[in-house]
Amino acid sequence: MKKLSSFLLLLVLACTSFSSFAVKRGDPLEGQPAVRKRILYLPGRFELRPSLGVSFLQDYKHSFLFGINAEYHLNDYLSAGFSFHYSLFEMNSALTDEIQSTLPAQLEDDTYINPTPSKDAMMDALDSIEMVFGPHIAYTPAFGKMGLFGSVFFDFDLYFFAGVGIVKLKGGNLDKYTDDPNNAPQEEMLHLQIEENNGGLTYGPQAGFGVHVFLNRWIALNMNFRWLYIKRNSAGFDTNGDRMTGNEGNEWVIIDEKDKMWENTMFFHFGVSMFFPRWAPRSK
Amino acid sequence: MRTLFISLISIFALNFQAINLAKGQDEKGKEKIEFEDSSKDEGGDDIQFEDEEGPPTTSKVQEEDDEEDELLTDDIDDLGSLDDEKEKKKKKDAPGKVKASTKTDDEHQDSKAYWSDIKVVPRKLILKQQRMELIPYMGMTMNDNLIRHILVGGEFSYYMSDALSFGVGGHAFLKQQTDRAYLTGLQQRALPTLNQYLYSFTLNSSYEAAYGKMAVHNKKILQWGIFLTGGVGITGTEIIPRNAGHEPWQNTNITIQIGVGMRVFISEWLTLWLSVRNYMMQDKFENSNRGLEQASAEAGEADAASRFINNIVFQIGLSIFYPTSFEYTTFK
Repeated sequence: MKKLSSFLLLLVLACTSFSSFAVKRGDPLEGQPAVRKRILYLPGRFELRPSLGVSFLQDYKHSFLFGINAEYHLNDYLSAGFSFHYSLFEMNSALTDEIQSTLPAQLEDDTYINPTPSKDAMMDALDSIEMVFGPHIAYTPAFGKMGLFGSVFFDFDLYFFAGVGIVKLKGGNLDKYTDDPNNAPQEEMLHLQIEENNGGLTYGPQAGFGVHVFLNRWIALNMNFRWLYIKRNSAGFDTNGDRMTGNEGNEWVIIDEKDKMWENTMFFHFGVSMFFPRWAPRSK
Repeated sequence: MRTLFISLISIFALNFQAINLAKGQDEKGKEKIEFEDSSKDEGGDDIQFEDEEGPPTTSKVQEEDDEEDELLTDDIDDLGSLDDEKEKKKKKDAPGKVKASTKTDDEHQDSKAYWSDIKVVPRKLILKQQRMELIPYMGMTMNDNLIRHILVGGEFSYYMSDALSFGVGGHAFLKQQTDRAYLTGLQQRALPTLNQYLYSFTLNSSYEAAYGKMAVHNKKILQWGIFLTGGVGITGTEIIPRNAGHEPWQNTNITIQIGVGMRVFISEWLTLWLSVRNYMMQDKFENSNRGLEQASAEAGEADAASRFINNIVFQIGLSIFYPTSFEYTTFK
């Protein structure tokens, strides 16, 4: 009996002692922010960003743009802004050069038989981007620090934005290459009835992402990629095959709004962001 | 009965001691947290100053910059996995770095010892030296308006150091003509010369030029690296005849590739891998004046037009490292 009671007591002693020692210490960092005492570059600051940009994946003409972006950062994650970009000059794409090289120098006598445009007509029909502007909302989910070649270190953040993109297109002009459906068809003329040319304002959704690489508390390098989805007829010719009959009973090809198609338009911008007020505090 | 009584006393005494010990650890933990909070008040005088009173004077800015430099230096150590605690201690113990404290020195030392075990900013998630990397990837060509290619392939690399690797890679292409290819014929009455890509095979080298960490919503820390890549190899292409009656032919072109890419580290052996590369080559195209008498592949190739091509591709994949685990060479 004595042995049994001693054994039971030892067992109880062991169990209770183990359970007492097993009290969890817990993770002191649980729920704590990943980074303390970081510089708060964004909250409550106004950002002004001049930039240079270039379009890419354009079918016929690449645009080189100068722009400015104004943005107010509501907090660490959200901001609202407006951007405006103006095309300084354009450059033909490889496709444009290739097509142009295959086209004749002038129009055929009878363009009903061979409606191939001349080199000049093809170029004069193209549209080009004159300006791009619009409001957007940006979301900045991540920030960090990067080392370049293990020797230079920068703070950076990554943001995504979305909004409405409004594009002003400089339209082509085919007036000198077309004849009038009210009159008899003429030689060396394209029989086109242009009801709406491919210029003017168009709009669509825009979205993109970018990074700020901070050089100090108020200046950062900025790179961003912008995607726009707009309706346009970049070649300036007919796409849907609709026709009308002229006074003499001949057919004229109609070029109008229906010839526009949704197209991807992409830009890369490189700029310098300036933040105001110039002072940025540290977090706790 | 006496044994039972003595045993109960013993149990009570031991448990009381054990509970107190555990409680003491908790309190110690709390004490450290309090220290961290109080350190903001003590060592972090500048922060309080900034938050409450706006921009500091010139001398204050200088102090702040010094503090920033210290953080950057910590990162240099961290980036190279060369955590030299002695060096850090020297910096911390340097005369200029001593902060006023209301706690006793012993308490301060205990606190430091406790927190020194915790790395708030973690070290590199993956060490790549002397490991192999297999990257199955998919991709898409980016700079041809008339014909788009989807590519499927893989790359195998061996890391000589943590930054430098050599390897082989290759992919096959699946072609897809765009709307513009058809519209060009309709609108401009022109059929542009088109080649389709068949395959690419290159010997590659890559160098990790940048390494960084980012906090997502200040909660989760992700680590990433940016690498530069270059290589040489071959690309197979095939012409797409304008006239269905003409025979196509294939070209094998010497190719130089350059590019830039990014890895986001997921685990010790897995990363998300992204890359944009330019495969440059001199390719042969069907001549725009190819006539009926040149219907055979040989005749067409003899009169081919040669052109320099930049084939820019975007690739995305998962990279798998082997061995799947590794050991850090430093303690921290």
